[in-house]
Parts: sequence; C-alpha cells; structure tokens
Amino acid sequence: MLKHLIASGIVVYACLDVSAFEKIAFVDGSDYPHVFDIENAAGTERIIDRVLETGADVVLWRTHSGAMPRYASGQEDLDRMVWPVDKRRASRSTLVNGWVTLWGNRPDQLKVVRDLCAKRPQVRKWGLHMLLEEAHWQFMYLGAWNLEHPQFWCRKHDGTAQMYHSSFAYPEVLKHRLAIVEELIGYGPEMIYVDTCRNGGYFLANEYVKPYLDRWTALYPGEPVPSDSRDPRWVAIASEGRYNYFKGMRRLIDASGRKIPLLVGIDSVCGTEADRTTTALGVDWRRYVNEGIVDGVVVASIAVDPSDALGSMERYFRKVMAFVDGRCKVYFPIMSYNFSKQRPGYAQISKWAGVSVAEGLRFQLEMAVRCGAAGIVMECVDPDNYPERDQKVIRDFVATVNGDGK
Amino acid sequence: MPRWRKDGAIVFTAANETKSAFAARNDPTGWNLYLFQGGQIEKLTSGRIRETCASFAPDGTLYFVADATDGKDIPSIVRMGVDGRRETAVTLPKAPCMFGDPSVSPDGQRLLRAEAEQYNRPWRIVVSPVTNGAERTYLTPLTMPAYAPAWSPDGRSIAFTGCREGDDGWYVYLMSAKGGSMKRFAKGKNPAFAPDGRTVFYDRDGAIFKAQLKEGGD
Repeated sequence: MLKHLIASGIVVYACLDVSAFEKIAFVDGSDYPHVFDIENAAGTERIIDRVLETGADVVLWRTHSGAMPRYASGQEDLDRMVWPVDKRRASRSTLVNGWVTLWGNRPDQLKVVRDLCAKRPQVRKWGLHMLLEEAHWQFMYLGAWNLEHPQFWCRKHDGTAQMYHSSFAYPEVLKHRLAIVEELIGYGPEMIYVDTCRNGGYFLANEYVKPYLDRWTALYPGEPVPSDSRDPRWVAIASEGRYNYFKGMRRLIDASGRKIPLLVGIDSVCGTEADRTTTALGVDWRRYVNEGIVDGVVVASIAVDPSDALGSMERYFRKVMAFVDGRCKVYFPIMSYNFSKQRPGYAQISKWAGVSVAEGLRFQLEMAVRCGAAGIVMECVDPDNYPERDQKVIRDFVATVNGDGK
Repeated sequence: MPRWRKDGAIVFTAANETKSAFAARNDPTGWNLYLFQGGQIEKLTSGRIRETCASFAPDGTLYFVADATDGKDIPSIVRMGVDGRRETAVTLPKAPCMFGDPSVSPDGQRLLRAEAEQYNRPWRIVVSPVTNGAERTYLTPLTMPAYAPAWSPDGRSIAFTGCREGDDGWYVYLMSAKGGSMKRFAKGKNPAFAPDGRTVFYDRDGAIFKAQLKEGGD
C-alpha cells in the first residue's frame, strides 16, 4: 500500500509546477546561545549555515520571544528588558547562565539576518516568524509594554487577571501591536508568518474583558456570559480583536507597496470545522482566507489518527486544501519534535505507520507535493533536531522535486 | 531595588555583565546581593540563578528571593542572619510559582511579600508570620495584580502597587496590614514610607513623587 501510494505520488507531483516548492525553516536564534555566540554576526551566520543544512530555502526568523524583541524596537523599551533581575517580568526561576548579558551589546539581529540571507544564493526568501503572542510561554516573561499597561490585561471568567497577555479588545493594544508590525515591515521581510502553535499560553478563555463582556450583554441581554469559552457565540465575540489584528497587518503590508506574503498558522489540524486554532485561540483562519487577508495557510501540525497515521494525515491536510480551494497557498508540516499526540513529529507518525523514519519522512514529503502544498515548513531548526540522516532525506527529496537542489 | 539597613548600609542586586551569553555558558554569572557600606562593596551571596529583592529586618537579618533552593530550580525566600548563616523562610511547591519584594514588619513579626502561586495567577500581596511563611493571608484578590508592598513605620499600614478592575494603570494603594478595605492613593508605583509615617514616596513616568497622608490616616 505504502509503495503504491509513493509511486502514485511521484506520478502526480511530476506533473505539477514544482519550481516554486518552498522549503521554509523557522528559526529561533535563542535556541543557539550554548553553541554559537548569537550576539554577533559571526554566530548568527553559523545559525544560518546550520538551518540551510536541512535543505531550507526560506528562512523565517523569530522576531520576539520571552517578550523580548530580537531587533531594535521603538515599541519595546530595551532598558526595561533586563529581565533576569526584574521578578515581575522574569517570574520563572531559570538558570541564568550567560543569558544575563543577552543583547547587552544591543545587536540588531533582524538586520544581521536580512543582510546575511541576501548573500546566500540558497536563500530564496527571508522573513519573519512572529508568535501569536509575544510571550514564549506565559510563565516565563512579561513584555515591557504589557507590564506598564495592566488595565489591558486579559482576564479569566472569574475575573482573575492574566498578566502575560493584553487583550486585543482594547484599541490601545491593537495600536501597539500593529505599530510593532509596522516597524518590522520596515526591515523588508519577504514573508511574514504568524505562528499560532507558539501562543504563549493564550486562549479565548482569557478574554473575559470588559469590551467583550459589554458586547455579550448587548447581544444576549439577561443571559450570563458562558464559562465555556468554546461557546460559538463567545468565540465569535472574543475573536474579533484578533481578526482586527490580522486585518490591520494586511492593511500595513498593502500600504508598504511591497508584496509580502502573510501566512497564518493552524495547529493540531484534525479534519473538523471546530479546530483548536479557531475555537481555542480565536484565529478564524477560514474567515481570513475568505476575505483575502492572508496569502498562505501553514498547517503547523496534524493530529493524525495513530491507527491510520499517514492516511489520516493526508485526509486532514486535503480538507484544508479543499477549503482553501486555490485561493491562497497551503504549506505542509515536516515537524521534527513530537510535542504531543495532537502535534506529532514525522518520526512519531512514521512509528505509528509502522515504517522507518526515513521511509515515513519521505512519504510525508511526497504527500505534501501530491496534495498540492506550496511547500513544507520545518519546525524551529535548532542544534538538536533534524539530524543528519533526516536532513539527507529532505535534501534528496528536494533535489528530486526541483531538479536543482532548491 | 536597593534597600536601607538601619545603620545606613545599602543592599543591592548586581551581576557581572561583561560576558556574552556564549562566553558565559560554562561560567554562569548569577545575579547576587552586594552590600555598600563605608565606601566599600561586599559580595553577600553566590547564588546559582538569581538572588534578588533583598530587605533587612529590624535586627539586621536579610531576607531575599533565591531562584534556586538546594540546587533545584525552585524559588524560595531565604533568611540570612548577620553571621551569614542561611535558612529557608518560605518555599513554594514548585516552579514556576514566584516570589518578590519580601519585607519584614517593623516589629520583626510578619513577612510581607508579592507572590504568584501559579503561573496563570497574577502577583498578589501576602503576609505571614515570620516564623511560618506557609501560613498565608492574601491581602489582595486575584482580580487585582499587585506587587511592591511596603510597611508603614508603625507597622499598621502597608502601601503597594496595584491595578483594580477599572483603573487606568498602576496606582499606589494603602490598606491596613490586617487586610480589609483599600484606598487608592496616587497614580504611580513602588511606594515607600518616609520615617515620619506621613510621607509616601512613589515613582511615575520616570520621576519620584512624594505625597502626604492626611491626618487620621485617610
């Protein structure tokens, strides 16, 4: 069966225009401080070398993490980014190691990355890997702007303040976050990806804030606000701010006069309408596709059925393709890490399918082409994932697809 | 934030910032406490991660937040006597629970601090007997993020930074040290009482302000 599918896949993708098949790698420079000196251009260049080993030809660089911008931001005060010592901002007890000095010399890493990528013929595009929320996990660090504006913090149904996230229900928050996007567009990215998998612990269950509560009262007078944040009526209300954010991003990109593809991530895709991205995170990606807000949908992970791992993977991915129906690009996940049952990596999927990692990986790559994906996305390439044996599978496949190794 | 000792010595937190992250990978340089006294600086602690937020008790005992306890990644409030001996005053069950701003009452009996008992809870103001940090009385609700508590000189009141629902930012609040109703005092953060007990200093927009309490404590 497997061999049959692989063979039929080769026939199909040979007929496609695969010259533009993109191999996107997400990169978080702060995965590397223990192996390279990421605070200078030489260290950053070594990260790019490592990333390109995977066969990637699109490099999307993390803009923020740990609530800290990786560039010279006018929106976040770097003087207040001395997070190791401010308990309010750096609440987690983390081994400081050398991180106390990270960005001490204030390099503008995005500028360094842009310039380095321009010199690399392998890199077709460079761009931005933006997190849905700027915190890279909620119990770690608090953004400087967030710290100064507690009146905009998210709240749970019982009113408990959520100090790591500010709500898009407030116009001031939307304005601040779009100002960040505007300054990032100034770096000239050739692609912008909003990652919903890394959401910093943000959920619609944290959106019980006054503007949305008032909206609920206006629409459903006398009815208590549902404690279940997955109530479709609540989802519709509480997703509005996020929608305005994406719409604002689109407006800023268009106003820049440059063609910068805007990609939205969808996570734990499971073949149903009520997927996690829409109902838990309030990212109504179907609406964004319908309204032409996004240029691409990144399927960041697929919650495959372990009893039919490869078959269900293809079915669920094809459902996304069917919805999009050619209106924008769709990207296929080649994820190294096995985060959870809903977010399995290619090795786990191969194991469930009863094939070797190499076989399973190749099958997934071929599935991407067979299904008509615009390319593959690779999980943040770090020093420990995508080992050499898997890189070879990816590189060999890429050479087969494009004929030139790109 | 630096803190005074009765005799005028100052304790503060600092770290060696001369290395890059890569250079420091095999030689961690944590944040530690230093004492400034008589023109000299003395290093007081050598913690593994961060030792910060120090405050002196009336008898000179130092209380501070340590981000590692017994070599584990668990925060605690440490009590360090004038002889340099350390003991744990308060622990939390596991990371990522957090402490900040420990402060001992003027009578030396109660330990005030900011605490977030779970990662998805905000900072709150907590008071305990100094001999039993686990006996917690939360002075502020979950709906109101609050930190930076400070005792009044008579130990009857505290001032802290907080944001109640409906506030348009951080405010200095005042309340009885026993809890109960609180009063919004001024827009700003990080309050501290002057020794007269009537003057409160706080910061706002990069400047330090002072304001007088009215007679009768209102």
